Amino acid sequence: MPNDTVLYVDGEESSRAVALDRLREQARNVTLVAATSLADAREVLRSRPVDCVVTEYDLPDGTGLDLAEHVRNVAPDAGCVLYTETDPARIDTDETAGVVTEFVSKGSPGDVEELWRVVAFTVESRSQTAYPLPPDEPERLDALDAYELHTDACRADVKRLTDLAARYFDAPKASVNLIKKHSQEFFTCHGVDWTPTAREDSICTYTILEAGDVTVIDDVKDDPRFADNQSLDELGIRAYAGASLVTDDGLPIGTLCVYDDEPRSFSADDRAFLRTLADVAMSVVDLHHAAANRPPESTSPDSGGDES
Amino acid sequence: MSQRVRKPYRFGDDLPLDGVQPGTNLLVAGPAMSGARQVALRLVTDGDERGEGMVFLTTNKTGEKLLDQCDRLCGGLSRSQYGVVDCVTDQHGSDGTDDRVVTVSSPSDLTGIGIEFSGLYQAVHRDADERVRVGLYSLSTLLMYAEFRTVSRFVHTLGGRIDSTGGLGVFLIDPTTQDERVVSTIAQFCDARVDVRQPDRTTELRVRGLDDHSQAWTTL
Repeated sequence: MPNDTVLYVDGEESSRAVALDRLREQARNVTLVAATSLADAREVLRSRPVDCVVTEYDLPDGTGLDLAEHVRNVAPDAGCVLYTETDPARIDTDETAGVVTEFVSKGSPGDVEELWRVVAFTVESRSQTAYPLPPDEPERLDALDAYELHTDACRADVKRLTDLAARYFDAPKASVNLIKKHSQEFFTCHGVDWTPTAREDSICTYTILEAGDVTVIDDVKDDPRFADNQSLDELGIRAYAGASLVTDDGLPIGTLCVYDDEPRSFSADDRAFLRTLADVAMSVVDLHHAAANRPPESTSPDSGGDES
Repeated sequence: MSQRVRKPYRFGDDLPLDGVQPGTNLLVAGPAMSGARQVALRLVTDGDERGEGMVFLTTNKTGEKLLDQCDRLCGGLSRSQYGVVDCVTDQHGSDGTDDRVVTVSSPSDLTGIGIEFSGLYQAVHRDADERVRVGLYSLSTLLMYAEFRTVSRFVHTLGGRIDSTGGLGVFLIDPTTQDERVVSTIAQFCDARVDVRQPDRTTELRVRGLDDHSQAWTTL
C-alpha cells in the first residue's frame, strides 16, 4: 500500500488524536490525512487523491454518510468506512440508501486493529468498487504503465485503425480506450472528442473481464447493467461493440470500440473483424513500444572511441 | 492465523462439496422450487454442529421465518453464535425480542443493511473464534429494489469483509428472474458458482470455480 492515502475525519479533537496515534502504529506505509469536518474533508478530496475515507458518523456540519455520498460522486472507487460509537440503529440511512460503506464499531475490543484490517483490505483489494476487477489487475496496471503511449506517431497509427473501425461498421463513433486504475481514457477517437470517464461508468470496464472475447450490446437500454447509466446517455452511446487490447502476457490494457446512437446488431463477421482490428492495434502499440526502447546502436571502432 | 481458522469449511456428507477454503464467496444460482434455497441455507447451517458462527441476511422472509427454516434444517441453532439482518420486518434496529436479530426498514437500503451486517459480523466473528458463515437470501430481491451498480458495490464490499477475515460467504440468486448478463457479472464478485436444478424431483448441483471439485452435475 505504499503511496496510498487514508483520510480520517472526526470533529472531536481528543478522539481524533487518539485514533490517529493508534492507527499510525498499524499503518506505517500509508499517508494518513486528518480532517475535522465535512467541509474540511471535501477540501482534502478536492486537493489530492484519496484511497479510503474513515469517518465518524456525527460531524460538526453533517454526517459521515453525507461525506460518503460526496466520496461516491468525486472518487467512486475509494473505500468508505464509518468508524463510530453511534448505535447502528441510530444511523439515518434514509437519504443515503445507495451509498454503501463499511462499518467498524468504535470502542469495541480490538477496534483499531479491526479498523486497520478493514482499511488495509479495502485499499489493497479495492473492494468497494461497483464493478468486478480482472484477476490480474495489479499486473494489468503495471503493463499499461510500461507502454510508451504518449508519442504522436503511436497515437496517429492507432487513430487510423479507429477510423477504419468506424468506416467498416458505418458507425458515427469509435475509440481506442485505456482502462486505468480509476478511469477510462480515450487514447484516440473518431467522430467525437471525449474526456476521461469514471471507470464504473464505462462498458469497457466489463469488456476487459473477458479478455479474448468481443463484447456486444445491441441496445444499452435493454441491458440492466447500463440501462440507468447517465454517462452513456451523455456520450450518446446506445449500441456498443468492443474488443480488448491484450498483451502477449494475456493482460487487457484497453479496448477498441465502436458505438452507435441507435440500437443495432453486430454479426459474427463483425465480431471477428473487431477482434482482428484490436489485435492489430495491440501490435501497433507493441511495435512503437519496442522502437522507443530499442538500445542505441553500438558505436563502430572507426567512428570514435579511445585511440590507444 | 490459527489452525482452526485456516481449516476448510465442511458440509454434510449429502452435499457434494468436499470443503471450502476460508475467505471463499459462493454464488448459489437456482430457480424457486429447485432446492437452491435449501442448498444455500445448508451451506451455512452446516456450521452449527461445528460450533461456527453464522450471519444471515434475509430480504424476502422475516428473520423469524428464516430462523424457523434453519431450525428445521439443523435441529435448532443452539450451539453457535448467530446474527440475522432482517430487511423485511418494517422497522429499523433490534427487533426487541432477540438481540441477535436486527432489522432494516427496506431491502433497498443497502447502506443500512451493510452497516448492520458489519456490526453483527464483527461481534459474531470475535465470539465464534473467527469462524463465520454468511448467507444472503436473496440477491434477486435486492436487484428488484436497488440499482445494479449499488448491488454490485454491496456484494463486492460484503464479499471483501468475508474474504479478508477468513469467512465463508453464500449468496443466493434466482437466475430465472434476472438477465444472464447480470448473473454473470455478480458471479465475478464470487470465487465460485454453485448451480442448482431439479429436473425430475431430484435436486442436482454443479460447482464451477473451486479447485478439486468436479464441474459435473451431481445428485443431492
